[in-house]
Amino acid sequence: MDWMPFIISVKLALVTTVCLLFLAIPIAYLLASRNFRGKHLVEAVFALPIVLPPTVLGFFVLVMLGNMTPVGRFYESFTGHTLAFTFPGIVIGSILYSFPFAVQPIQNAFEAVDPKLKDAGRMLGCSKWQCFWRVILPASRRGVITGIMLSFAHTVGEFGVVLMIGGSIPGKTKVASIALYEHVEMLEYGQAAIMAMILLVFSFAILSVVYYFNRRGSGISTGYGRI
Amino acid sequence: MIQIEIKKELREFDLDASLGFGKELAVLTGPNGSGKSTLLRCIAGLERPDHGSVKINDKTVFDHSTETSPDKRNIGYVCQEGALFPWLSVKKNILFGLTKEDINDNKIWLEHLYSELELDHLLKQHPLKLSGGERQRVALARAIAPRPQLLLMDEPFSAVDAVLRPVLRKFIKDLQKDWKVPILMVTHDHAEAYVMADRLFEIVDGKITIIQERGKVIRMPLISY
Repeated sequence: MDWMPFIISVKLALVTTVCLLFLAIPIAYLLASRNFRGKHLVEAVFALPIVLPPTVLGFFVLVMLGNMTPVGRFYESFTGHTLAFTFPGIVIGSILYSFPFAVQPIQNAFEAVDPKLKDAGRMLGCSKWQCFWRVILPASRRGVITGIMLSFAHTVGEFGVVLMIGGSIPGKTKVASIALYEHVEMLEYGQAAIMAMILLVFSFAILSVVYYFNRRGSGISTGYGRI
Repeated sequence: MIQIEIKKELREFDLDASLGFGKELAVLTGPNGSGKSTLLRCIAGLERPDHGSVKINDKTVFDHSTETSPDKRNIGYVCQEGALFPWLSVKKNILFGLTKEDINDNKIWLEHLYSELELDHLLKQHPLKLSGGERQRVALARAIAPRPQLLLMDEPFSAVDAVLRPVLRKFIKDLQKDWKVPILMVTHDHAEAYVMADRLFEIVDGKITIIQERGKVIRMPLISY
């Protein structure tokens, strides 16, 4: 049993989730707290990866990262190679693909925070920034945890986007789902079954934890409603 | 001395209220939807008046050129449902507005608060396990703990049972006397307003209609309701 694809999958999921945590929290907060013209369009763009075929997203990212765009050429001028078919390349693709799975639960949780709690925080001496850290974030923590777990699980299960951007380079971009696909192509059903079972149990475990948080509730929003 | 002049356009009427009170227990009463809570929120800095001024102990916290943010006004605020932080224990809720130094310097005061409000046995509990009355006592303790220069209370006894109400009323009256802090309390309960008030304001459709000082009418009603 080759464990390398699993290691790459978990590494990819960890890096993606950490990046998403830093990106999703401020964006979710802005979307939850501000109203601006065209907000629905921004939300629709952010939600696109939910409905878009992964190959379509993968194709656009592949083009974007290649040397046909300024971004790709800029990266190539520094590193001597493009982002396509590299680990950083599949990280970028994964971030875009899992973005709504991180943003939406967190945004929902931020929106569900009782304004009276924010007022109480402000009246007890918190600046707006302190109020975010001491009141809004703790009150939304279940939604944040849900967002993190869904992003992680979703990234581990990625196939189309990673295949389009990263190909299947052993030890670099060949993740578990691609390895499983290749086992099936080569009629190695025994290996494929073991990999499939591991991914199944892993996904079930993550979703069980998410639903457990939802059930506990205890008056604090999980923000899981829209997914 | 607290001097307030607030003008704010609301959906159904214009809030246009002037009131002043000293180190006493002032009560603002009036029917539901008359602008009581909005007035309180404007004083606290949680809502912005269109015009006017708010002076606390001769320091302007709001006028045409000044707007002090709510966290810098040093005002204690108790809202209707208490708004306790459900992820924190009762004790951590009460100490939320205090720094570590404040907690160390005010240990006796905090012990006094816990015992006066009968919170000693609840300190380790979480707010979701408390009754309505207990929550409101914790909210009161939390607002008072940082020793604010003005205490605002919006229907603080609405969720408190009838047995505990007189106890809390007495606690607030005693607190005001001992501590000499100005308190402005909002209630729609006229009986409660008359029992508690050193100075009473009645508000109808955003206008102050009656001002009474310990039973003495200073200004007669403009509108009857």
